[in-house]
Amino acid sequence: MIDLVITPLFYLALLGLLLIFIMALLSPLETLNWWAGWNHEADKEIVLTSPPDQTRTEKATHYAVYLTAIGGISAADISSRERHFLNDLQEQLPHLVIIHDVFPFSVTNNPLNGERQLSWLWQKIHNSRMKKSGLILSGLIFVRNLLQVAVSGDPRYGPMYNVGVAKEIGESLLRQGYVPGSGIPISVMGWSGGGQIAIGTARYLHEAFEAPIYVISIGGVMADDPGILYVEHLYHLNGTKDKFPKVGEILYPGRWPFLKYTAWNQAKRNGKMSVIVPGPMVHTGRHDYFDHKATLPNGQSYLDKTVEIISGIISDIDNSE
Amino acid sequence: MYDFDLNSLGSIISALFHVIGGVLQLDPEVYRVVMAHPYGTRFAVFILFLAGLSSTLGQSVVLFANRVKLRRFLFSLVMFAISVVVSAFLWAIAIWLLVNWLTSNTWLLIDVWTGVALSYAPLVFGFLILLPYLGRIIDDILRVWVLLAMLTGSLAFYPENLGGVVLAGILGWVSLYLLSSLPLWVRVQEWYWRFSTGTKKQTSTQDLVEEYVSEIHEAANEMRGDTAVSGEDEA
Repeated sequence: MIDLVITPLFYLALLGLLLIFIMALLSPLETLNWWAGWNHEADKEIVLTSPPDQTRTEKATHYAVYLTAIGGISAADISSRERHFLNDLQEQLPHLVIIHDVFPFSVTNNPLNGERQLSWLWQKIHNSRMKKSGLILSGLIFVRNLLQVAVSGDPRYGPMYNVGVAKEIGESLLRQGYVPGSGIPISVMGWSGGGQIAIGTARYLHEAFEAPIYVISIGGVMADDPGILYVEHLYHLNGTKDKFPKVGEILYPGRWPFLKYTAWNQAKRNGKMSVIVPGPMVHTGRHDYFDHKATLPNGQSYLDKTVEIISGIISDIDNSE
Repeated sequence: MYDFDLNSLGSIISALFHVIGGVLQLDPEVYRVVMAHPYGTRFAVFILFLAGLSSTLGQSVVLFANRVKLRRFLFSLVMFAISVVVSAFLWAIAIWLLVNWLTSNTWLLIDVWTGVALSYAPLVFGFLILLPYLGRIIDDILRVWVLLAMLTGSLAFYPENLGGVVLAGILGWVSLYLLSSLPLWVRVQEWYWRFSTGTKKQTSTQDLVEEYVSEIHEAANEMRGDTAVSGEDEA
């Protein structure tokens, strides 16, 4: 009787592992294919799909790019909690231009439900997740995006992946009227795996736009990416109940404190990092950084606390520039 | 005992699994069995070629980074697999010369060549180097495994003077390393790269990415110029 249950479960687990292994093996191919131009020549031209919004950007003192976490399937489908966060931040800082149309887990900003062969499958998984019926399958979205974070953090693939995402961010910045060489600060905000992509793209955004780049990590899981050396300052928000950022600290030797001469530890020594503890936030779900129902002992919601900290950081940067 | 019958395709595939498994388990017996077979050397070189193909695939990021076209990519995989076979052969010659010089024993080149070729068997898993994050660790593990397999092969034939054989192996590797630093050898490698990939030269990923960033930088600056000019026109 036990065998009747355990044996199928064992084979199911084995099948799951095999699927993850194949996904892992194929995960760098999207980046490599794009870079090698096998499908089409790597597009070097910067393309504007709409003219820069001059009226809005004349007053801009700061640009912020928001990169979602590994649960997302596209930049357009971010959760309502994240939208609340971005709206509240915009209300706090009217002169801030917020960009959130870049999907950080695709080198060409191609959403999982965009122009790709398995888009129907990702859309189906996403839909079932919305109805709460496909929570197990939705793990595939996490795995797929997590593997792209690993691609970004791998020194062999990372430069190609990160420059591709940086180009997409750059195009979005230009669409929003960013003037290269103007010196207007750019803050890249990354939640969870978005934190690694933020660090990875920093170098190329800095070089392409001659801009000061700041990274605001919201429970970011970050590798030992050399892009950290091009970041003016990294602000890392880490809730006391969020253990996920530890994964990056453990898995990437460049972040081990006793290896003094790595890019990460060099940046740390130079005082380019601040860890901010906003409260007892968890990584994702209820009681995370964007929860507007959970409150701190002083009655402030977790969402309001996150907005307060990040708007404070951006205001401080603006005052110091 | 190893199933080592090479009379049909099925038995060849079965022998492949057995022999590769034996090398992975660092079993000296597998070396004796393969070397005793009349087609053992050819079989070992076939495994070496497969290992070369697999490890080249694992390290193919350099081909992608240099934007090698798809057909050339496939051709390059075969060419670089052949280069793995050639460098293993040179290593075998170096070990053979040094063993016969450093020790009292007289080894046949064909036995050393079979042993060295067989020892590359762990690299049939070289395609795993493609894996993000884990790939680089796997690369190191496989290389150590090849060295351990080489040691096992030596144990199978010359357990009495293992120190001398190991020394010969290390010196053989050092002499190949020195050979690869010679300007003539570097020129040969550059030619081989051009011939295999159809690209002018091998450039590092970071340099290629930096070139790409400067192109984005120029394009962004041109756009700034265009915007300024159109703004003036409107004024």
